[in-house]
Amino acid sequence: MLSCENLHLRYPGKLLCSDLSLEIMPGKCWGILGQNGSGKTTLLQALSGLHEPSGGRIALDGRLLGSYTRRQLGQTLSVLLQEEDSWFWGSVLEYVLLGRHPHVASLFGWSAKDEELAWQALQKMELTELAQRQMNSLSGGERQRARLAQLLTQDAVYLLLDEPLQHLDLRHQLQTMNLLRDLAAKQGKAVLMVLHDMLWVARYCDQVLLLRDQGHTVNGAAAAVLTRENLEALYQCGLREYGAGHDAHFIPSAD
Amino acid sequence: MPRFLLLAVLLMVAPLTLYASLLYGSLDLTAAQVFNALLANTPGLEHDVIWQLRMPRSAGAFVCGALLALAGTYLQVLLRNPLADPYILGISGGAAVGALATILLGLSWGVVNISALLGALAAITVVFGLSIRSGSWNVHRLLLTGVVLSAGCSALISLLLVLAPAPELRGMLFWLMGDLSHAENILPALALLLLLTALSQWQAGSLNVLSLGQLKAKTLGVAVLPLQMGIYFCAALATVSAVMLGGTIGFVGLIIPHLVRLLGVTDHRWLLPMVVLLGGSLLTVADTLSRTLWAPNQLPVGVLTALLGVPAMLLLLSRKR
Repeated sequence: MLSCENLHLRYPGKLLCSDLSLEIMPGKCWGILGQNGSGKTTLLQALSGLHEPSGGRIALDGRLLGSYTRRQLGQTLSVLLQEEDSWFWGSVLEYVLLGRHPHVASLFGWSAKDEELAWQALQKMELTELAQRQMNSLSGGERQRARLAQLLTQDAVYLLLDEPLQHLDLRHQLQTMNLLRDLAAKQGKAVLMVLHDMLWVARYCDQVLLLRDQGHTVNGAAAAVLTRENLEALYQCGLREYGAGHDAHFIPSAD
Repeated sequence: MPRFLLLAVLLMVAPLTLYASLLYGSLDLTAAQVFNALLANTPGLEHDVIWQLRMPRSAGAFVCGALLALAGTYLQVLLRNPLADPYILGISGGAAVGALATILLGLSWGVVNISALLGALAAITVVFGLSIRSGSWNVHRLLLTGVVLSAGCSALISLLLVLAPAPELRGMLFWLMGDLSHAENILPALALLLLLTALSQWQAGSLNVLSLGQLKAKTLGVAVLPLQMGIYFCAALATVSAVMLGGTIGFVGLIIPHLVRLLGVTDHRWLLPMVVLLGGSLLTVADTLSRTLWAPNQLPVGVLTALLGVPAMLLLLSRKR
């Protein structure tokens, strides 16, 4: 279990969240929503040990995150960063294989299992035919799929994803969300993702965290948290609600 | 070409270039004479020429080229900048100021080397001290600090050259453009090369990951700060050692990593041993040409490395889509 207790996050001159306590269990899919600059990325980075919180404790399986080595964390937690300077000289396959780095210490080459996992991930992301292409020759969407394939190859229990759907077309968005939901529901992974589209959150996430202004947060079961009142308060604009439950979606009102 | 085949070719090319460098010089020797002189321990002219003149210089050229290529690769990964070379962080600038000041004072080559070492160590300390702040390290600040220090050293070098009387000027210019004629005691540099090659091989996987950026490398299990510091000091040691062997020989450290990448090798577990072999071979060939093309005069070896490297690089660039 990945958990935080009384977590405080600050950015110079701004309180991002205060007294946040969460328990992220394997098998569950979490969605994080919030305005621009509300601290979604900072929270994700804090939960993955990339950002030092200003207060509170974060633990993985009962042990403080700081007591793990980076390699141990890399074996258990995988992170899709919002931005990645993909200044990489190699091929797509070589890039995806780097996801195995926390698991191996080979001086030359990769094991058969590493290669198999990488090819499986490439297949899931429909990148098999681009495997030998140079990474820096891909389009934005293809690159995002390669980054997701690397994350899958890392084969960690906890997947923390910052805007996994950016640059993807609608079909690949759907495939990615189906894949992430299956990873949680069928393979017992914990998925925590920052998203901007409430539709995906309503349809695919079991739990939702809203990061409101002045450090206030709301979290709980998706159906209970994704209400028009909560979302209007979150985005500070009027919304119209259509459908209900997993099919609920919200559209800004005309004014 | 498959990577293992390319590595095998380079493993064969390296001893061949060394052997070829022993063949050519002011005294004409046949391949058989060189072979006999290498194996037999009988004193004589050929034995002395090979073991006391040509071998130290050729081996020095090989080690120097390999160290420069290794340092260039390290810095291109550390700074995530394809234009990085061993001299970008002002280490060679510091060494050059130290060396040229002692040449200007007319001191012996031993003192010149010590002075170059002190100048380089001062530059390493200044750049490292100014770029690290409260336990964190920003490679952009490191690069900027190094470039600024380099610019300062360049100004001092120009000043020293202007102040130098004509007899000293030629030696100073040769030192700046690279000169392997004073490469004698190569054992410390060779030991360093072997150590760095082994260390590189051990950390090559982490170097691959670091090339994706600091944050990404952390998520993939790399302890980034210790690795970056390790790379910086290894690059600094390699540069200082190479500069003390042959002055500031340009081009090798910049171009060799790119040449290997253009041949299709980007995985550092393969790239690092290849740059060692190719860097060493290129400088051995360039040095042999520099002392034989216009004999008994010598050409600056830095000119030859550029003349050999530029066409090769341009050819590969033109063939690459």
